[in-house]
Amino acid sequence: MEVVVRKISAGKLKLFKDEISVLRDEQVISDDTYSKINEYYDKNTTSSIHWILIAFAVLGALSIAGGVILILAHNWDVFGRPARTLLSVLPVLIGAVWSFFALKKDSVAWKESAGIFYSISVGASIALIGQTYHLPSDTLAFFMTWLLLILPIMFILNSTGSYMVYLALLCSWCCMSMDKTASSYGFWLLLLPVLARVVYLYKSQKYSPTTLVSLYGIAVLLLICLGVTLEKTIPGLWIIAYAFLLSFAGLLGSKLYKDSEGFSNPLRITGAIGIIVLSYMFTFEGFWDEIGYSCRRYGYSYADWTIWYDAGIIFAFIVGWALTVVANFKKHSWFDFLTLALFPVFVTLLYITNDDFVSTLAFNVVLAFFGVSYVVFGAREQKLSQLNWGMIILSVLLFTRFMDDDFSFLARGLVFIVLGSCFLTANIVLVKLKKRGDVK
Amino acid sequence: MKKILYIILGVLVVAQLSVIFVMINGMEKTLRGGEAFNFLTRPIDPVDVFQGRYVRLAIKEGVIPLSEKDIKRAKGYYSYKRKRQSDIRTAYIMISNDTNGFAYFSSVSFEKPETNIYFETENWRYGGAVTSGLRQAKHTIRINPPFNRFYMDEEKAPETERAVRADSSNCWVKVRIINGKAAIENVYIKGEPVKSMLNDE
Repeated sequence: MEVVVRKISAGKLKLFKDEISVLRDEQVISDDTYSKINEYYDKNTTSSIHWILIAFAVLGALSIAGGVILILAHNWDVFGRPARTLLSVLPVLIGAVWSFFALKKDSVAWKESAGIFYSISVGASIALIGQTYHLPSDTLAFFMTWLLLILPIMFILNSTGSYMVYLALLCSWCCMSMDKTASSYGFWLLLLPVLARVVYLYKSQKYSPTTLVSLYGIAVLLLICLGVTLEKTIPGLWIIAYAFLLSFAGLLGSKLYKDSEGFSNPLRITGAIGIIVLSYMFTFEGFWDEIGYSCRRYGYSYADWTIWYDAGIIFAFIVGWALTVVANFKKHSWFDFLTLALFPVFVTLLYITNDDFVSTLAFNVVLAFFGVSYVVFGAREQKLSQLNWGMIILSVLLFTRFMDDDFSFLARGLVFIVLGSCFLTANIVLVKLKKRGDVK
Repeated sequence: MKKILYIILGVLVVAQLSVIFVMINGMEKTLRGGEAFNFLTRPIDPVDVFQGRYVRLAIKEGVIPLSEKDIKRAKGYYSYKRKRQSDIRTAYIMISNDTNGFAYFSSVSFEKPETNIYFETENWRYGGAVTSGLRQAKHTIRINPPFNRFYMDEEKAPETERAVRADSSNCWVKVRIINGKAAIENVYIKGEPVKSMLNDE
């Protein structure tokens, strides 16, 4: 059996151990069981990180690094060139020394704060040199140099803070590069170290908050940058790209974190919420009407081969999606199949039909279908949060449609009353079941 | 394992300091060995999030007439498929002084010149015909030279702009130029040097 070292806070563990010692004293459990339980918890759990300490360390490092940048940006007249040159090296040196002590102390709070400060201080140093020597603005080169020079920090210090700074810089670089040079192929290359870190974290500490936060980071990064980095060769190709990405993310989350639900399964929840948001957007005709003709490239900004670049990215997501569909299908998870796996197929079919009205109508049906699926599966598996999520989807859809169209006040009023009654009935039933202990 | 981490950290610090050193060294060399030129300019005061306030130096006479053989090359940049900013070849800009002692961009070449008094820029575009001003020509390029920012104390930059707004006739930037590099030495407003961290010599 796979043994996972779980994180339980010191306080909770103490409470638990106190309780089992009471049970032993009251002779509910035997001495042998008591020592076995104790041994198990000593071996298989670690006291979780002190979140407050880490939060303060991170905030402190962020504020100090920000303060250093702002103070240096004052452009002190009193310092001459030699003094400023020395000053410009200082942030990097402080960051390095801080990191050295963090490694020595081997504490999470130290490593996180050092990682953030060090990562930002490299940018401060480069900026200060630009300022001292009046270098012309070259934001792209500035961000690229900064990115490359902080890349190893997240690995050396195992710092999520440094990883997040890297993600933020990568995202900014990707957007700026697309804006200034009309390309950002480098994004995929610079993403590789991020993937390596996430895979490493998943393998070494699957359920730790560090891993989960890192997964959220990469999910948000991809959601922003995928659309930016596409070459816009075919109008509306982003629709298919995002559909496959979201479905792939959701299914991968289901596969990797089978037992985790809600926000403790970052990929799955990103995929699930993303699909709903995308479906909701597609219920408006404007989206199909104007799916990207204005961004389409032509003339000197267009090159024939870039269509292969777009196709390559989408193909990669399709392969990922297909593999996860097969992997999930083995489990016969109909819920995932209906709410996650089918979505890109729907989208692709509607994209090919290229009919604004049909697509809009179809997505109203699709969204309603999602809402009903969540409600039905939520009720069947007796999961209150899933059921409510389905209700929210349905009510947002109906609310929007009834605000959109010219239905009479009476019709709208009746629908809302029926909707509200459904909500209440479903909840009352589930609350009753919950009281009986049947609901998760 | 920890030992390796210390070593990697050490290597990283050396790499970071090397990049910083290379940047400093390049500019110091230009400032010490470059020939000084004064370009007439009009400073405007914007702000950079990371680097603070600076005055943007709009160089007067930023157009350069193209020689016959370069016209096709300069115009061709737009007609090539996908020739974008990242693909532009470097332009080499030569400088001369006019009769008043102020510098101007005398000519442009797409091949490295034999003299060492020139600077490189990738920031140029085909400018078409210029029919007014001193540099009239049928085919020109417009450049944004690599000395267009002068960082200043956050209180003094707006003051400078105010002073210039009243009278921008006699402002220039002193630039040191050698071997393709250019470095700003100082900015002069109404003939007076702007107090800055660079006039510490």
